[in-house]
This record gives sequence, structure tokens and C-alpha cells, in this order.
Amino acid sequence: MVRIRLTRMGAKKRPFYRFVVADSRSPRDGRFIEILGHYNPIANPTEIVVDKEKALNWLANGAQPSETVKRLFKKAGVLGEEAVGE
Amino acid sequence: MDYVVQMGLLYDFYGGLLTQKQQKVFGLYYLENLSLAEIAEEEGTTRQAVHDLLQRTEKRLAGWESKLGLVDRYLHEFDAVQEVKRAIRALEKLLPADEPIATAFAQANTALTRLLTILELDTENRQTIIF
Repeated sequence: MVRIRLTRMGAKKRPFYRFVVADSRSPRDGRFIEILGHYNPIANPTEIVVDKEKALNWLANGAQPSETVKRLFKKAGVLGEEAVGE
Repeated sequence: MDYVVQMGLLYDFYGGLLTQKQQKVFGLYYLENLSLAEIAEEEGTTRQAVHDLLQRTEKRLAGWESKLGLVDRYLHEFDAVQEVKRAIRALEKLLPADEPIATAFAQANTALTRLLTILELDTENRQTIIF
């Protein structure tokens, strides 16, 4: 199964995340298929940047977003309130 | 602040106090965003066991935070520092072009940079740290 995850990058005490498309069968090697955007929670205001077209395309092709990704995609207006996969 | 971000910060500050297993599972869940089922498979255990381990780990982290308050303090410092930076930038624009003033201002700026480094709050260099 293909998943969309929020993975944390970089240094300690510097929360910064990427939205990535990855295969659920190889969760640990950190490989991903594509980067869809990023999330910077300590920017003021909070910054969520997503390539909407790519994201919707992956979702339409059955990629499963994690709960966190779903929540942030809704916040960023990528997903409507009627969530995909629920 | 998002729960996931909050958990990530608690991990930054207190993660070293957890057992290796707690660190691993907590990291897979909150930093790499794997599902309970995926972690269970990875660890050769059940979804319920992973869930319980995470609950216990979160409780421990929250316990340390309630006693030491390092994350809360860090976030307050971060906010305060951003405010100082904004104020200094605003001030820079208002200062007349005069050499003694420019020198004094440069000193204040250097002092601020030093403080930021000590507090590990220098977000200007974030991109170079991450990429």
C-alpha cells in the first residue's frame, strides 16, 4: 500500500516536517517516492505548503494518508471536510 | 500547537531518558508517522502492545515536562526572542546613518546573535541545518 506520511526532518528542537509518499512495505529505510510539501509549525503563522495537484492525484490513486496528514491537509484546504478514506 | 509537534518536542528534550525500545517505537510513531499496525509488524508484536507502550511513554514524557517544564520554557523563549529580533530590525530602519550609532547597533546585534546561539534558538540557519 502507498501511504502519505508526515516525517520529521533535521535537527533537535527545530520541528520541521515533510509530507512524503512512501510504500508501507519499506517503512524504515526512509525511502520515499515523492515529496508533496512541508509543514513548519514554529513559523508565525504556521506554514503548510502542499502541492495540491500532486497530492490529490496520489489520493485519487489510492494512497492512504495518515491521520496527521489528513488533519493537516484539511487545514491547508487540500482536503475538504469529507475526508478521503473514511 | 499540534499534538504531533508537541510530542516531537518532548522527545527532543527528554527522549534520552527513555529506554531504547520506547525511543524506537515513539520515534516511529511521532517522527516517522508510521501507523500502529505498521509498527506492530516491524516489532513483531501486536497493535495493542504498541498502543500501550506509546501511552506509557507519553505519560513518562508528560511527567518530566510537568516537573521540569523545559519545552514550555523553550517555547516561551522562542517567542520572546522573535519579538526582540523584530524590534531590532525595526529599530535598524529608524536609525540615522551615523557611525557611532551604527557601531553601537552592530554590538547589540552581535550580542543578540550570541544569545540566540546559547539558547539554540537561531532559526535563521534552519534551512542549512535541515537540508
